[in-house]
Amino acid sequence: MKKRSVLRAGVAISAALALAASVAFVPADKKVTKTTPIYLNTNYSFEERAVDLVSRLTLEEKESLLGNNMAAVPRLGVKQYNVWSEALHGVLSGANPSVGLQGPTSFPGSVALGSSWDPELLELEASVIADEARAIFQTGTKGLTFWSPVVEPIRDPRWGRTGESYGEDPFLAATMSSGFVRGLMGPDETYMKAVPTAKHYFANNSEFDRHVSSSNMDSRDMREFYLYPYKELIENDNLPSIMSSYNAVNHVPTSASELYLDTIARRTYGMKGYVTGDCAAIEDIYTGHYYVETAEEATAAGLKAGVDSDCGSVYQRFAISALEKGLITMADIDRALVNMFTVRMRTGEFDPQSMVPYTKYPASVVNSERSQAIAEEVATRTPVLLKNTVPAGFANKALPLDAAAIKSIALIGPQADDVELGPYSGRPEESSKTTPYQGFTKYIADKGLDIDLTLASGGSTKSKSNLLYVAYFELSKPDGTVTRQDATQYSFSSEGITVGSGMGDEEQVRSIDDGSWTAYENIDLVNVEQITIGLNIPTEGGIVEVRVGSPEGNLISTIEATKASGKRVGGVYGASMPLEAKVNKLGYNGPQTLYLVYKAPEDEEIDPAVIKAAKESDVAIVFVGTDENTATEEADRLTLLLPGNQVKLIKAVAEVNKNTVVVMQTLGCVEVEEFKDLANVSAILWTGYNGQAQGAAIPKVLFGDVTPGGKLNATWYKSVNDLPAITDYTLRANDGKNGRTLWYFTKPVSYEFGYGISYTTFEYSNFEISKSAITPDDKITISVDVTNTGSYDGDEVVQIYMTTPDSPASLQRPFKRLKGFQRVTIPVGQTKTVDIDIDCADLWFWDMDKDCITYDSGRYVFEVGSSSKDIRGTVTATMNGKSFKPELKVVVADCGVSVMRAGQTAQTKVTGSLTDDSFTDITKAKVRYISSNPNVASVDANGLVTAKSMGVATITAKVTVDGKTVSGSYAIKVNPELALATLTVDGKSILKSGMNQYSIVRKASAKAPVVKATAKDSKLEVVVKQADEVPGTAIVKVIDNVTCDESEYAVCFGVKGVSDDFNGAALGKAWNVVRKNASALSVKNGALNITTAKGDLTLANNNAENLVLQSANSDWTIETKLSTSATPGNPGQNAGLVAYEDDDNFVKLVYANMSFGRGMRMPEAGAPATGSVQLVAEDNGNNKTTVAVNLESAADVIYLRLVKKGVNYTASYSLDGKTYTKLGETEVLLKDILAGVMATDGVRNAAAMRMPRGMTGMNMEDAASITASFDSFKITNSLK
Amino acid sequence: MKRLLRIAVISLAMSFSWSGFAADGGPDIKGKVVCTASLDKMKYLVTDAGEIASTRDGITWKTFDFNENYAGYYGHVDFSCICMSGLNILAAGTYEDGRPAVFVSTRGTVWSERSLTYKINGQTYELEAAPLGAAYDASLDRYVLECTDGIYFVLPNCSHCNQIGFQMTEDISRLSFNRKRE
Repeated sequence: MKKRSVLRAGVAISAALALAASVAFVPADKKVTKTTPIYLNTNYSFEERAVDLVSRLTLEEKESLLGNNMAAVPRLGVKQYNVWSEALHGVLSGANPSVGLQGPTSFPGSVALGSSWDPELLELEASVIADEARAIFQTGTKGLTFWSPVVEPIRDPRWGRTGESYGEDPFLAATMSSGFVRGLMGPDETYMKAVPTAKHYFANNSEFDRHVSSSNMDSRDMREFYLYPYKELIENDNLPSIMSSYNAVNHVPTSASELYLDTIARRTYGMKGYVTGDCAAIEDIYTGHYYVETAEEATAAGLKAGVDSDCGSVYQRFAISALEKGLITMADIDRALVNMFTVRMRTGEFDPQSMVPYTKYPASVVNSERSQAIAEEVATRTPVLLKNTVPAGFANKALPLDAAAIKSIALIGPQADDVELGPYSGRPEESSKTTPYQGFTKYIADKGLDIDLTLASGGSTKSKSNLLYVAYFELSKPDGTVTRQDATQYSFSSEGITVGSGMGDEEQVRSIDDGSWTAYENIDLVNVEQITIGLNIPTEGGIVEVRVGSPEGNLISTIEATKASGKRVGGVYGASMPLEAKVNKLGYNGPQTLYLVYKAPEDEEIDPAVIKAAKESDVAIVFVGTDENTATEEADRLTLLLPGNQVKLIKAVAEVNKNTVVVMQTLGCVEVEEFKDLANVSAILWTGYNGQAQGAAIPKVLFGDVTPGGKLNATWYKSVNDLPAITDYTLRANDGKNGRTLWYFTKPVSYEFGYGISYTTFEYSNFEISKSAITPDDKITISVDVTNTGSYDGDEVVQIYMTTPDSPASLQRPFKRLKGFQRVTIPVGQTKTVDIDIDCADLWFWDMDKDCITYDSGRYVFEVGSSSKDIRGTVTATMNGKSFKPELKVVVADCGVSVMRAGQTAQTKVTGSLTDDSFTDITKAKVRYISSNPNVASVDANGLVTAKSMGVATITAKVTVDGKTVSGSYAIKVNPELALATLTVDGKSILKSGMNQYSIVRKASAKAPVVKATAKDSKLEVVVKQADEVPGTAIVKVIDNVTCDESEYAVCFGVKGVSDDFNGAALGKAWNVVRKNASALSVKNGALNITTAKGDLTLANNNAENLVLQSANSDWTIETKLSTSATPGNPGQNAGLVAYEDDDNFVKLVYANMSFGRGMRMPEAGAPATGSVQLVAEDNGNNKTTVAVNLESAADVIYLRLVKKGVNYTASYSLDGKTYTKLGETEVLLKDILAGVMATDGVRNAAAMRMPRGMTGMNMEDAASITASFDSFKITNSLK
Repeated sequence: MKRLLRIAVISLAMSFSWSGFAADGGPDIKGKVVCTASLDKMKYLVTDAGEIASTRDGITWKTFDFNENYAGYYGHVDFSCICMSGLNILAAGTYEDGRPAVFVSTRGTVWSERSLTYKINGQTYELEAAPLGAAYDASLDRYVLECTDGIYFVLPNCSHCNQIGFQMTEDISRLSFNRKRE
């Protein structure tokens, strides 16, 4: 039975208001009663409740809920909700005094936390962030779903968002992320305190091209490196959400990939929750990657792949359109919303507050003293000591600072009196931010130290990369001539130049570094007096030198486009702005090659006052680093040098002060070779962006209140030139290209992964492993005694790296991988036994041939050390990899729909993944199906679900493989069946199961028979609109006023049709003509002749002339014998039979011009046109069906036959009038039907313009009008 | 005073161009029309009573009382403008506390609020200026708000990617685009 869902806004609103009283929000602590709707009833599971809520939504409501700005639905008590919030290192928000909120605490960021190597610390930080998030949520100003953490391992330090990642090694990234996820979600087993989303899934590791690029890699790199953190978080921490990224992976946009999102994340790893697209990622499917052509197709691609929420407006604008086009089903929409609402319910949003442990956070929690104290404590545990020597003339090492011996300190550098919070930072209270200068001032005062403090900020952090984005240039002459050149269409350029638009709309030349250039051939420079360049300053800007002939050629103009010179900026999202400069006319004749050469502004000279301050102090502490202008979202670094003149500053200070301490705060690795070994640089301390309390933490560390215990979370390369192209996502070395990360990089480095020294020293001894023969099923413990042999209490991070020396060389296994670590605090003189547990199941590799996890057999050497290079001892075990027997791990069951109507059935599909990340053959497994409520929905032994009556049920599939049983389940809601119980005409029943259009032939009459009907479910409304007369149609609607769904039945009263041989001189009385053009219409020579004119009936073209029609409001067969004066040609000539309700609701069977649709058999190029037979149906203006068959040869005569039975139309054709070939069928409910003939020229459409390859010989010109001659029109009514 | 005058001029001009507006049925509204928008056969208007009315044929109107329908969910909104893209409708104004409010809908009866955050140098801010008018830029598929303080605020497809375009010295009185989306 065909159902039609029609939105009836007027009825919906009045019904909804009535309903609102019964489904309003359950007030706090109101008990569940019999009238409590399921979605508010805490006795049901979250998923059951979510599916009930979704089943009550109208179509427009559903569409409005598919974006991150989820609409309020007052009639169901659903508040508006913004899925997008951020909490990477503090809630991304500002103060809101109107609701009593201070600016949220800004904690140390990801790179800083990654260098702490302390997941419990990160869990504490995240827990406090979640407390503040709850307090903010209580004020109704933000949601609880946070798109944090970033779990991408740092593949390349140039990545603009390196500062958001926890580390280079996937194990470190995963372990630290796990702390964040646990802290944010909270300990309660029922409710989540806040909802983390791991991103960006996956391999989004370069910014400049992220909207259009493909990260290409083999399955080993994919599984072992890029996907590893997601696998760990989903399997071990029940991660409830991931964000699909902008980029493609192996040429498939992740946001459109069922493989990546469903097969791997959900079915292999077992993710239960929601997937959000990155903002505009759905749009990128068709505008960035051109993976599909339209927004509707992108909507379909995203929803079907499993992206539940679109941060953007593609879903919210095109979901209904995609549904109407048949690209998605209602089930696709429902599934996405069920996932979204299940997560919202898991936060307790729909539950009485007394049940949810996280609802009692007052506004005062935000930036409380506790939060601030924790921010400061964390900031003391992130710094990494890279160097600490005895300065010349001193007795002790530079650090910790000797408060007794030091009388003067100079704080120098651009970060000495600044707080750099880094990416995705909220806006904390100014009073909570402490610069290093403020921190030192307070520290000295609090401790009563006799130290003079001098601040000499000096230095700059002006970026030397990503100087400019250039869109165009114009050359102006005195006569007013202006010629414009698209800058992105350069003839050639220096290495590294890219073209893109990023999040903006304008294509620009990008990745401009100091010395980059672009060249343009054949430029007319004769008499040019001015050049205007359209450019954008994303960071600090640069200088454009306009030269001729070469990058060093004659300089004819210079434009200084820098922030410092006061030029307006556009930012990374902005469009270009024009800047002008005069051109030095040098008498050029003929076309020239013009060069735009881009230069960074000159480094500023070091202020002599700074040098003086350094010279006159006992210690010079130089605060240097990066900031959001160095690299950020949408902008990678092109260089790893410290930006601005900071290296110059360090050298200048070291020149005059033998005790120069360098404190660096950066987003990650910077090149340090120029200064790290300078004798006068006595110490180097590094942190990632260290939060609002960075300035308070630093003096504590430098004076020794806290011993630095951090370790680098990434390799610090000597030079950016050691790295492969940033666009290269492969990891292993080959063909002269270096490998990446500690796994595969072999060249010398400045500092290795895991490096960091201390004020004290540690010795390792007694290395032990709990088992020397291991299998993947074992859990082992590696123990080592660590003794603090120095003079300060301190933390050590014991690191365990795994190597497999017996692995075949051809497999190119990683040199080593981090597989365990622990940060321990050891007082002076004490020894601590550090036990590190390792799950041998985690020691896997990926078998690319078998596409599954594997374990090499042989020695597994565990290197125990203080860094990846400082190995203090090893223990070895022998792995029996062949003993690995994969077990059942994740079972996912679903039936393809979330909402059913009583009477419907659906087949459960089940997948089972194994512990080797492959899939079991489910047909060989033992599967048992159970329904939690068989009265609502039953399930048979084969998983066939039958919807019985209104309610919710959970269907569970218990799968057993090799004795292990794992379950997967899904919830469904059964809505009442929109079916009739009775249907009578003048008291006589006509109801037949499965039919929704009835045909009754009567004599014409001014009074129509009376139709009555009742619905099967008494909760549904039945509305009958009687026919006015015969012929006429009575419409019966069965309406569900809760969902506004309805089904429609038509009882068509028709009169007997009139066949016509057209032997007269005019049309008979039975005929009427729509849009009559008498000059093109005639009855003569025994035929009805229609000469075609421009126009058609298809889609927006409702202008076909001369539709010759008669009443045919019943079931029938209509036939005609047709000949045309020429074969139908362009643009879309067609003639034939039509069943017509109106211009937007019809079925036509026509002889038409040739069709070039997908899958058509194409004629040879140059072959004559043969025409086609087409069946086209439109339903409410939407194309429902198009079936077309190209004929083998042009037809002199063609016989067309269309059979109507209820809503079904069957089309056939014949070339001899005897043997008919079925063309196709369609179903469409038409009312007050007319039937007859038509002939028209058609209109040109876009599809017709896309000539298939090889068809260039075809004539695309519009054909002259043709005359269609209908020898007869025969109509045979069916039934009675 | 300048803003009131501008609204009055808009209402006056639009009523002249709408035949049958008052005489032949017209929308059943309580408030005064503050802004209208039309595209193909669809017409929308907003009133100073928080109503959004629409018609497909110029004769049959539907009125949606935004503030009544969303009482207790969104705050009370004083609308100042409405705009259509052909794909959805945007209505903007201010909350009672003066904060800007922007809503979008595809069919006029379900409205979701549009975030008004934007970024400068990596820092996120919220729009504070009030919308006075809106236009749809078809060539780039984005809405643009004309706001107080001379601010031109861009709302692209991506709800994360709003931009402050530029700031004029005076309020922008009207904005329109004429390129079709290709």
